[in-house]
Amino acid sequence: MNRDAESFVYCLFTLGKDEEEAHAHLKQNLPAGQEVDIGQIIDFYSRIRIGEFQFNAEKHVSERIAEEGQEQHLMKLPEEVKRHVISLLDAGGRATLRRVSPFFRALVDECPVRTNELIITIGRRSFTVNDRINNIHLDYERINHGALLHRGPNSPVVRPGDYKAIIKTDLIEILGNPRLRIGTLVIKDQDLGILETHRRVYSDLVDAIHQALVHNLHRGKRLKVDKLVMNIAEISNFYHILTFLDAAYLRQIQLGDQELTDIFRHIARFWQLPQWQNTRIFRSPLRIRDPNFVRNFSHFDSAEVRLAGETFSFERIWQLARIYLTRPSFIQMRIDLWRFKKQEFDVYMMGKQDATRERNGWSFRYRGSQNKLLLECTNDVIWFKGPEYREGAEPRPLPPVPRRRDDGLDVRLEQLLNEEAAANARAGRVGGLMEALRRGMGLG
Amino acid sequence: MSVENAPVVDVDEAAIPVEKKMYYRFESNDKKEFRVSELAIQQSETLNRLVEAMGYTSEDVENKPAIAIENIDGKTLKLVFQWCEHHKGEAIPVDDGSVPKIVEIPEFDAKLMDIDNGLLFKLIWAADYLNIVQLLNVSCKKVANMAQGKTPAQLRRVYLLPSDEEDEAAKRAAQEAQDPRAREVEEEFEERKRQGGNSFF
Repeated sequence: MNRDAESFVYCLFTLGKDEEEAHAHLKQNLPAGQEVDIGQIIDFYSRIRIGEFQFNAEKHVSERIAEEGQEQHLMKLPEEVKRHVISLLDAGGRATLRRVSPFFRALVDECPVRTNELIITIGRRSFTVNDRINNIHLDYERINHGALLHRGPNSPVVRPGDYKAIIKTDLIEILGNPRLRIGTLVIKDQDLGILETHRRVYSDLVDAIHQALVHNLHRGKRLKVDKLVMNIAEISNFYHILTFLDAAYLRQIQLGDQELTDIFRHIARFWQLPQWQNTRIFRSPLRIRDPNFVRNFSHFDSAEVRLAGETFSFERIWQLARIYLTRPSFIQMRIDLWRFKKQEFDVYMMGKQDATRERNGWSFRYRGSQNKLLLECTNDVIWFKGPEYREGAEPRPLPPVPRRRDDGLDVRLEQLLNEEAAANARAGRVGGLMEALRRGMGLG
Repeated sequence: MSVENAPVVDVDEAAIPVEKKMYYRFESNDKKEFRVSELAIQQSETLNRLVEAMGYTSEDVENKPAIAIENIDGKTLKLVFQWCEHHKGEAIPVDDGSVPKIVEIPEFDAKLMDIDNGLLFKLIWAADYLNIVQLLNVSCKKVANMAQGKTPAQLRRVYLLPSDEEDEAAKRAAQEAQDPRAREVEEEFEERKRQGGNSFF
């Protein structure tokens, strides 16, 4: 029996219930899958009667404490409560507690550090790190031969040395904790408009972030981040940051919060990264130009993207529809197009047997289900809405789809897979759409 | 203590649904009795399971002895039940292991926990024992906030922690108390070492 069950049975004992009644009550209240033998209850009752049970001991301790005039304190709290207190400490509190005693040093180091949001802002003359939960408010101001460090209401401190090295050292302190888990990591430029003329300064600071993350990697750890938000001028830096994150944790990516001149010039490199493949939700207001859009973006459960250029073939939309119909769980894919010929698209879709005309666009029925995949079209947006789409709701990552063997693959879909495989083979590529589809269907 | 004289926690009658209007009686380890509404008890997983298992009727509650909570004193239990009454009907937070939500301490809770540190730690212990998740969250947050801007020495005083030396001395004392022969054996061993022998054998 665990401690909860023992507490429960102990209370029943104090209420005068016998062993059989206690067993019956306990059975009703145990979580599914757990069982307790009547023999254990009898044994436990006899332990209570001879004063062996821990509660009696605790009572004895509390009485002793009262007698000695001592007070309850942190050390006397159960281990899991101590950990809970530590999890709520800010960065300064944790650092101080580590210095209190070897016991607390070990305990603090063992406890995972979790934060909702860590915001790193890169400016021309400043660099800031903010984390509300851990009470980190660091603002580095560039001065000659060093940095002026502002820390909230405290007076600023002059830190002599190389500006970039100072920031890198402190970032290693913050990001280097192998037990750190970040809800949302935000990396953004403070001065997007004027950075072109200060590219060197900017690159140095992004490099400091890279080096702090590399330091982590050298110890065999990648940073655990659930959501990455990046709004930086150099999209290529996004690739480098992405490689340092733990693919098992990354579920959402948001790239840019305003239109930048830079576009996904290096998108071809992303799609093979496990960090990109494992991400479920993607959002970017940047104009993307990607000839392999279907291959690179169809694995997301929810995506909102804007495409550059005037051509986005109807065939690709049809491919996307067929991919989403193979996935029982899907939220949405909203694509803003430069210019979309809706009327021509409607004519194209009329030739498709599985598509049904709707008021705002088209719908497709999932095989073996009443669910529909909706496709809304206007002259500048095409919007797939799956069974999990909820109007106005912030999309949350869906639970992973259980692996299953395919039981009758659609002939046309198989044809599509084969065509893609053949095209890949001709181009010397492996995987791509084929791989994504097979994984989606639990075949990979 | 008779039921008439028992300290009764203030209850907002209007907030209790008619069908749930039942008050359980609990007794602390120093024999202080409390009446607590069924809705307030739901904040404590331990007590909630217990009263469900007992299946008391309104008559049972009056006629049978108060439910004894052996490990918590009256002063602490009063705070616990005041908290439960104030937060009755509120959703119980579930820790899904993901990144934490920011724990804010509401005004009522801040006033309730404006107490000395010893009592605060007792309150935490009680919240853990009775499995009151949100009370445990806010009380632990209060303790965590106490560490802000403190030096290690100040933190020892705030958290009533022993220093390394006191810690070691307590360990030694505990070992000696457990085995009074140990020190003698250790001294004998040291003596033999000084005389040139490596061991007892």
